[in-house]
Amino acid sequence: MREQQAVMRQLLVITDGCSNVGIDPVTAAAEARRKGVVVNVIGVVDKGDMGRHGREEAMSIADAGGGMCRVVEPAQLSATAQMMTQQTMQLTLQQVVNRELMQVMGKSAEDLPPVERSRVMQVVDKLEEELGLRIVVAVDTSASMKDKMPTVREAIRDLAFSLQARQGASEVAVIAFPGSGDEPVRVVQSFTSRLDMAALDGMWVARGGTPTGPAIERAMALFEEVPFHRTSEDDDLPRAWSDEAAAP
Amino acid sequence: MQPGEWVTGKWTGERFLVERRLGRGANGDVYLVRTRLGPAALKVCPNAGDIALEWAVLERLHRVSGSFPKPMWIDDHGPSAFFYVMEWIPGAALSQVGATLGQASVRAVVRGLAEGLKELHAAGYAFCDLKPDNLVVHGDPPRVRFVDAGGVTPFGRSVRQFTPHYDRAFWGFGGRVAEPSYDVAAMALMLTLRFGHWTPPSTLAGQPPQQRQAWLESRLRKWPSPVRQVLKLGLAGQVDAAEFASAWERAHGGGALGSAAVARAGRRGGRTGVNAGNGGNGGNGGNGAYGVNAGNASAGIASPGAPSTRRRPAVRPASGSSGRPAANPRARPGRDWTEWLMWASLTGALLSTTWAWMTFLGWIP
Repeated sequence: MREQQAVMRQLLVITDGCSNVGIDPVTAAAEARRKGVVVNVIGVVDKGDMGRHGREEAMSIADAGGGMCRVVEPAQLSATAQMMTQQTMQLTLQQVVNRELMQVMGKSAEDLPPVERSRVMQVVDKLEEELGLRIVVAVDTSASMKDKMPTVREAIRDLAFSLQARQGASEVAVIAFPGSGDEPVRVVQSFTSRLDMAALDGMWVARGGTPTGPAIERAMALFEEVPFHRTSEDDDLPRAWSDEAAAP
Repeated sequence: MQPGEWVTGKWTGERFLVERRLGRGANGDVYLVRTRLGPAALKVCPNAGDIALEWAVLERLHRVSGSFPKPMWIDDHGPSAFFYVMEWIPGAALSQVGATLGQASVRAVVRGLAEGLKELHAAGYAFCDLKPDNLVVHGDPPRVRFVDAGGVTPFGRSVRQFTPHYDRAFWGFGGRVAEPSYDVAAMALMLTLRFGHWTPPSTLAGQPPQQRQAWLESRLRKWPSPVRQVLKLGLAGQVDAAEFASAWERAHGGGALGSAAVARAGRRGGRTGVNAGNGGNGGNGGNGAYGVNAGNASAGIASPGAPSTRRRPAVRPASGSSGRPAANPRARPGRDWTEWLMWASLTGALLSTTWAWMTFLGWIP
């Protein structure tokens, strides 16, 4: 349990439509959540809409994955991705802190007087900066995404750049769906703390359906396959916060 | 919350009458309310964490800087609305009035902003989300106050809240770590874009930072060169907030000679900047491309820094009588020539005076 909390794991799905190949993405997202990975979804639309079906599916995936869903224009993609990543970290930590507070004091942070709550939140805030973080960005590379690819690429670069500034260790991986040829999903860049933009340049638009479900499954496998390069100080963090948070 | 609604704090029991909505922040709404101590601003947000954190920041900051609103109460409104009440700062957001300000007003704004940032930086915090919407001006000359503390971050941490157009990393001018130069760059960007009057095209989102810089360079060229130099120093993080403000002041007319010297430095630097921009385009997008570009960019933009430090001795003589910039090496042959002429005419005058006296006294027949 402690090991799982020391590193936060997130999956960010960037898509513009409905899945139509392979396992149901909502089922896959629910499974991801069960394994401690939060699934966020950004629907990216260029003048117009992603359709009622696409929108509903995006919402359902995020709901099942315990994350958020936003539908934005390409220009907002970068800011949205970073806002989501950060808010997800904050919410996850708040949930953990609340759980601990419940055990220790029988109340959640919301039940505390605002001044004490403010102290707890400062601890959460510090943790958010220092905890290890792993994100898989799953990019829809179906034909309709063609015009949006440069923006998606810059948004991923920007996200990785922001994460580099964090005090805690951060890793980003990028997968594309559909992959090239027969493979439904392709790993564009495995977990790294410094993103290789040249690898992202190879993220071309492929022919095929939109295998969102298989992409979520592939991301989960990637979390298992590649061990996190954790620094030693990250291991002590959960203990540190529970002590500090419990102190009045 | 609706205008006319009474909000009663769960913990303090304070009652607030909601008058109207003042604005919409990054994470919540701000309302004008009536309290028992007079009008105040109330910020409400569905996330207890954000409210609690901003409150903690305001508590700390209003003691070190008069630029931030004074916090008054923090409380809950029902189970899912969390709020705090702070001093209401009347006036208009810089995003609304910025483009209409005259040169003198802009100078006052820059001065005030630098002052606020100086106090904030001395306390070990960066403002981070510095943009025209987060600054309120009122009075004449205008006084600037910060109204949204949501982005304020201790030095050394990552910037968590920013607006792309005022974020130096978006333009490839450096990292996203909270530090003084991050705020100075935002200040320079605000001025470059004339407080939001010039909006970057949304197509920039799909371009790498080098190409974005080319667009920014096109805006910079619309500024007179002394001002452009100051803006570039700020973008590159070569100066702190106070130095930036005084350089801005100088660029808008210190003495006549001073501004001439600045103009010279500007012309020299302007060329360097453009060349550096081209160099930046050549930078490849390999591993850690941001670092590489930022390096190129700051090297290019930094080079005008050298003339600017040399500029200072040139400004000083403006108060004295000898206005010649002595440091200019090309001046040397000129001085030799005039010196020669001076000595020749002096000798001539002396000789003719002696001759005249001798004639007058009758020593020479």
